[in-house]
Amino acid sequence: MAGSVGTKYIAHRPRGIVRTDVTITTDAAGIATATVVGVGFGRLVGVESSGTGAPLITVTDTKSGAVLLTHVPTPAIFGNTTTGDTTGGTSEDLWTTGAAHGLSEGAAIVFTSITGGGTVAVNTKYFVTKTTGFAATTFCLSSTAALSAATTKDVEIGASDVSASSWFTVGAAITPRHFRPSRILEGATGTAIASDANHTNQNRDIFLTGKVSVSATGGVAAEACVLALIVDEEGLGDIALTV
Amino acid sequence: MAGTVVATTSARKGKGLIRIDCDITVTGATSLTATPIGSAYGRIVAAIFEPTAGAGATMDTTADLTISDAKTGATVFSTLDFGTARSIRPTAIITSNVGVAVTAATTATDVNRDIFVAGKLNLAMANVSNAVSPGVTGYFGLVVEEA
Repeated sequence: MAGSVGTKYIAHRPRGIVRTDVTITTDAAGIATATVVGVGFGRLVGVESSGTGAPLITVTDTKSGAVLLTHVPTPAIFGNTTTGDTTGGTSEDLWTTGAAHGLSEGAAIVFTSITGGGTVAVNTKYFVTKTTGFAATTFCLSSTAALSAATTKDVEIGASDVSASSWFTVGAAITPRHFRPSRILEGATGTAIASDANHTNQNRDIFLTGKVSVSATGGVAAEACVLALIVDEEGLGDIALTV
Repeated sequence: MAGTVVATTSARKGKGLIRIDCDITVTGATSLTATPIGSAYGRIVAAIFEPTAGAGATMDTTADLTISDAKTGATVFSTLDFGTARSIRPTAIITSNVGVAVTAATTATDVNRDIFVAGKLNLAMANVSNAVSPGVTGYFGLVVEEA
């Protein structure tokens, strides 16, 4: 016995420029499991994202599970400073923005970065529980949408103030994006070739050669992202880079 | 419940080199909302501007033009300079496989690539002078290599 190697030959007649639109809806845990979204045989020349939410979207080769591309859609981040106060009597656990926040009670937000504090987490949904009676730049948060007066401020900011943070409103449209992903070349032993003076122009297009799956993780519940994959099966390729 | 992923695929065999002619008129406003201009499946090889075309006032040099994907609203390319009559070849900066733009450097050259489109496109204008009928007019042409 000398082992065996099973082979299968796969080819695909080009369909021209192929676009696959993918709608991703996350579950209560902010996840969408890997699902086959179609077949692509060609150069990945464009990716677009839109919709709502900012989970980590992963595009994989279905057969092998190899990751071809990952992408976090660009949410519309609130464009001003937001701090959290842990002390000061009535202002305790209040959030203050540098300009009117525009939030209404019941809205949900997700922090993408936090400096300071201790109990508030990024990529977690928090509910706006009180704005009435406050300045347009102040609000309270809760970890649950079902509120009582006692839980209005149930999100403890932590032992120290939050000196800076950024966040986006759940359900608000993200900033649509169109981009052309690429990959780094590897050497004959599979090691990535780092860019240096002798190795410029190391990025190459990503090729799809079979079924492709898409999944999402790290999001919040019931977000609806839209991802479009544009594949050149026509073989248009690129012009030569050297004149 | 584990979330859902739903996909639809559209494809089109190339029609050769196509040119989409857009006669732009902005009347009584400083902007034009995203307006369908047709569909294309291929590589953008030229964008042509002619600010004096049409019966209206000359298109502002500093007018903004945006071509976006009709499905996602993503900007395919834009210019803040409608400028003078000219033809350009727009490109995009490539990103890594995690979607981060690759910054050009002495160790990372040739980071610009052609822009591919697939599907319906919209055209929008902004920062145009407000003029009554016949308004402000100009021409924009989009050339796409589909095969």
